[in-house]
Amino acid sequence: MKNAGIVVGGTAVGSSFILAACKGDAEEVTKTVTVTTATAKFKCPYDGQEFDTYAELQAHVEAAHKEGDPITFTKFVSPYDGAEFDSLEALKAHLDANFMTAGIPGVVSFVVNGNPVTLKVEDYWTLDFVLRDRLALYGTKVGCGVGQCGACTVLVDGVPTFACLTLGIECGGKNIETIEGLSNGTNLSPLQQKMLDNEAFQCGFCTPGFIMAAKALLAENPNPTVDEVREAVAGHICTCHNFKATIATIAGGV
Amino acid sequence: MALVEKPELKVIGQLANPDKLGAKIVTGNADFASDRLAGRKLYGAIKCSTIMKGVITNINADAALAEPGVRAVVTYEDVPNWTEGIFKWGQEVAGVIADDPYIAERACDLIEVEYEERPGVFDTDEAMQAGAPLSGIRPDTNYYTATDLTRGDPDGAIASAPVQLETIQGYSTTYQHATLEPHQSVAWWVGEDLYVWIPSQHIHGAKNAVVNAFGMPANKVHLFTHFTGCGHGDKTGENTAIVSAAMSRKVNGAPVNLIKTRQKSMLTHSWQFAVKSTIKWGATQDGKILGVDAKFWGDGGSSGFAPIANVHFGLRTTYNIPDARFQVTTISTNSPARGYWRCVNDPPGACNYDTALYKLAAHLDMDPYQLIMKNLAENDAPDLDAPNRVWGGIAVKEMFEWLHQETGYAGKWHKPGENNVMDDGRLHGIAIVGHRDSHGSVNGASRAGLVTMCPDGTCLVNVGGARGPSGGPMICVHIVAETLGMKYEDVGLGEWGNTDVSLDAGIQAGSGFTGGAGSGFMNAALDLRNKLFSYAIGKAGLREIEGITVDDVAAENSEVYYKADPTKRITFRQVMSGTPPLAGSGFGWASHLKNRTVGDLELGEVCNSNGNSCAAAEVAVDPDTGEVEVLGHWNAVDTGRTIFKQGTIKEMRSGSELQIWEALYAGSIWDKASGACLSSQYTEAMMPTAMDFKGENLHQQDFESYDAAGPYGAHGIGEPCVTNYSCIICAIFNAIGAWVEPDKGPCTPDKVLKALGKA
Ligand code: FES
Ligand code: FES
Repeated sequence: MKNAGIVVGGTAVGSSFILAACKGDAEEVTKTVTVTTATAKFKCPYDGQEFDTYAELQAHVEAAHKEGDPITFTKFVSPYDGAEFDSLEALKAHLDANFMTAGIPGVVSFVVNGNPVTLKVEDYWTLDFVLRDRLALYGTKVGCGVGQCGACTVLVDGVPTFACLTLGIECGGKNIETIEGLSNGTNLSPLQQKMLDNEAFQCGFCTPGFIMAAKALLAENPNPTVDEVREAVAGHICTCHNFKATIATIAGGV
Repeated sequence: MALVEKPELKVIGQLANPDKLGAKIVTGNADFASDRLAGRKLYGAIKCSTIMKGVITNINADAALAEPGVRAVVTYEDVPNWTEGIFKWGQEVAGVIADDPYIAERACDLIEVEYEERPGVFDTDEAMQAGAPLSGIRPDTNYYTATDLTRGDPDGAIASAPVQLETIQGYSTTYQHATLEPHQSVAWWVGEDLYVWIPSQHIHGAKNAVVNAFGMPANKVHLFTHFTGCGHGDKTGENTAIVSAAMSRKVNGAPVNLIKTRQKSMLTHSWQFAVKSTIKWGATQDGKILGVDAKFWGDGGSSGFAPIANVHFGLRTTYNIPDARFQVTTISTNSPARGYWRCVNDPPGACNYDTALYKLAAHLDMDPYQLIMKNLAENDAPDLDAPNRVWGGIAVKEMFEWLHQETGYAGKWHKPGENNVMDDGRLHGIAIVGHRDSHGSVNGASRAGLVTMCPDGTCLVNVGGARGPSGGPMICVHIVAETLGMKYEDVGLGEWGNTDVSLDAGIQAGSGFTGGAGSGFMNAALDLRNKLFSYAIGKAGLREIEGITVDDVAAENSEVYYKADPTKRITFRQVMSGTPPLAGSGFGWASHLKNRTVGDLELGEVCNSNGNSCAAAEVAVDPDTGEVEVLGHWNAVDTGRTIFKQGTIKEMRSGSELQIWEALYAGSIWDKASGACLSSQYTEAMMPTAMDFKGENLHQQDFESYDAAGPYGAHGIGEPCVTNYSCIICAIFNAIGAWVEPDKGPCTPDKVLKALGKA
C-alpha cells in the first residue's frame, strides 16, 4: 500500500509505534523507526539547531546559510524515518512523497488518544477506516458501516460519534478518543474494570462501542438510571443479546 | 441449583473464575479476523446476483478493472466454491480486489453480469405442487422425506382415543443471524503456503475445506481464528476463507482483507429455517395423550443440507406418548440458504409442537401446564424409540416446577382470553413451555486437546478453536485445571485457533463443544497428569516407598501430595524445575455411561446426552394497538454440571433476549417475484436495541443435572436457552384467546390485531 507512513506527535512512524503508543502492544509493524523523542525535530546540518517543522527549518536555512557552506553535523535528515539527503529540496520531496505535510489537500491533523496525528487521507475514507487501516487502532469495530449498529462509536470532542458516518477529512483539529485511549492496556479505566468484573460482554464485538457511548454518558451523568442508560445506548446493537448485563453495568456509574 | 449428589469439585462451576480473555475485550485488544496488517493489505468486495435462478452467460469487468485502485477481479473461474449456476438472489458472482474497501465496493457495481434466467421457485407450498419449477438444489425434486419414524400404532391409538384433534401450525419465524461482526477474512500467500484469518466456529474444519477446495497439501494451508463475533452457527463455514484466498492468489499472494458489507453478509450466509406442521392427537378427556401423528415441513431454502430432519426431537422425547409417528419433509427453494442457527432444530420445532399442545389443552378445556406435566416422560426412563438407551441426565420436570413456582403461575393462569383484563385495560397472558433439546450431545471421539506444562509449573491449554460469545475455550481451561489439580489462575490459554499447533477441538457450538472438546481436554490433562505425577514421585523423594505408583498421589492447588501422608507434598513449580517440558494430548469420547450408571445399565452403555430447557413468559397485550409487552420472562436451562459458570450465565441471559427477539421482532421482507431480500440491513430486519428489553424482568436459572456421559457430568454451556420463544406466542394466546400466526415472521402488532379480528 502506498503512503503507509503516518505522522504522530511530529514523528512519522509505522503502526508499531501507534500500537505501542495506543495499545501497549506491537504485533503489526509496517516499518521500524527508532523513536527517541515524542516530537522529533528537524535538525539544521550547518549549525545543529533544531526546529519543530520543515517550514521553520527551511526558513532558517535560507536565512542563515547558503549553498556550499560546510555541513557540520550530518546531511539533511528526515526525522520521521532517518533518511538522509544532500539538499533541502531532496528532503522536501521525500517528505511530500512519503509523509505529507499539513496544509496539503487531503492531509488532516487531529489528536487520537492524546497523540497528535497528521496523515494523508482520501476524501471518501470514513473515520473507522482511518483509525483501523492507517492507525492500526483495531478496537473500533465496524458492524454495519451505515450508522445502524453503534459498533464503530468513538468520541469526537467528547461526543459519541459513529465513525462509519464520519469522514476522516472532517476530523481536522478534533480530539478523537477510541477504546484504546481508555487505558494503557494494563491499568483499566474504572468503567472498563467494571465491565470486566461483571463479565458484561459476550463475543465482545459490540463492547468497545458500548463502552465509548457509556463514557460520554457518565461524563455528563455520573450516576445514570437503567432507563437513562438504555436511552444513551439505544443506537447500539448487540447480536449476542447481552443488553441486560451491559446496561446493568453502566447504570449507577463507576 | 443442584439436583443430584455428585463429586465436589474445586475449580469447575466456580462463579469467581473469570473469562481470561475478558481484559482484551474491554480494552479493544481482542483481535477479530480483520484486525491485522494495517496499511499492508488490499481489500476485497463481492458482487451478488440479481436473479434467483439461472446461469451466468457473461461477465464484463472492463469498467471495474479500469477504475484507479482496482487490482484484479475474480469470478467463478477463480474461486473454487463459486459456480456459474445461480440458485438464489444474492449469490456471490464476482469480486474485486482494490487498494481500499470503498474502491472495491464501487468497482463491484461496475461489473456487468449477464444471466440466462431460468424459472425458479421461492414459495415452499408452490415448490411442492406438481409441475412446479425445480429449484435445482437437489436433483429432480424440490422436497424429500428427511425423517419417517413410527412407534407402535399411532393410527389405531388416535382412532380409538376418546378425544381426537388435528392442529395445524403455520410456518414458524425465519430469521437472519445478523451477527454484528460481518463475514470477513484476511488471506495471503508466501510461495506455495497459504495463510488465512477468519472468524470461525470450526477452524480445523475450515482448513480441511480450504485444502480440498484448492487441492493443496494440508501442511501448506495455515488457518487462524481468535475472537469470533457471535457465531451462533453462522460462522461454521469456510466461504470467506476460500474467497479471500482466491482473491489473494489473483494479486500474487498480497494480503487481501475480504469484508462483506452488512447487506452482503446477510444475503450470502445461512438463515434459521421455518417449519410448519399438522399434528393429529388422540387423548383421554383428562389429558393423557395416547397417540400422535406429527408431520413437519421445513423450508431449507437454497441449501442442499439444511439441518431440518430433527425438528420433531422435543415432541418425540419430552412426552411419554406410547404410539407416535413423526415425519419431516425438507423443501428446497431459491430463497436464502437455511443452515445452523442456535439450537438448530429446536426453536422452530418447539414453536410448532408447543403451540399444538396449547391448542390441545384448550380443546380439552385444560390448563396447558397440567397437560404437559401429565404427559412428561420420567427423567430416567429409556428412550421410547431406542429402548436400550437411557438419558444421561435430565432436569426437565424440575425446571417446569421451578417455572411454575417462580412465575406465580398458579395464581395467574386463566383460561385463554378470559378474566384477563389488567387495570390499564391491557390483556394479561402467561405460559410455560419446555422440552428435551436435541442440542448438546457428547460426541467427542474425533475431538482432541493438547496441554503443555511450563517450566514454572503453570499450564497452557492449546485450544484448536475460537473464542465465541460464551468464552468456550474457558470450558477447556476449567476442565484441565480440575483434572490436573491446579489453581484456576495457574492454567492459561496457550496457542489457540492456530491450525498449525493445535488439535481439532470440533465446532464451537455451545453444548457440543463442552462434550466434544471438553472430553478431549479431560483426556489430555489425564495424560499430562500421569507424566507430571511420575516426576513428582521422584522429586518429592517418594520413590523409595515400595510399589508406589502415580495412583498413590493426587494434586490440589497446584501441589502434588502423597495420598497416604498429605504432609508429603511438592509444588508443580518444584516438579517442573529442571524437568523436561511436558505435554499431554487426548481424544474425546462418544456418548456413553461414564460417570454413573442409570437404571440397570452398566458403565460403558450407550446413552443420550442432551441439554434441555424450559421457559415462561408473562405478557400484556394492548387490544387497541396490538402491542405486546413482555412483563416477565423466565429461562431455565439444564446444563448438566455447569463447567464455566460465567459463560453459562451469559448464554442464559442472551437466551431470554433472543426469545423475545424471535417472537416479537425477527423478520424479513421479500419481493417474492424476484427473490430479492428487502430487509438485509439492521433497521429493516427489526433488530432490537436496549429499548426493547427490560433486563430486570428477565430471569435465568441453570439446573445442574448430572450427565452420565459428559465431562464431569456436563451437558454443555447452556445453549438450549434460546429455544423457547413459543412461550411468548402461547402467552399471547392466553391473553387474547386467539392464535397469532408467525407466518415466517414475528408476532407484530398488525398480526395481533388480525388475530383479535380488528384488522
Ligand atoms: S458500523 Fe457504524 S454504526 Fe454500525
Ligand atoms: S457481545 Fe457479541 S455483539 Fe455484543
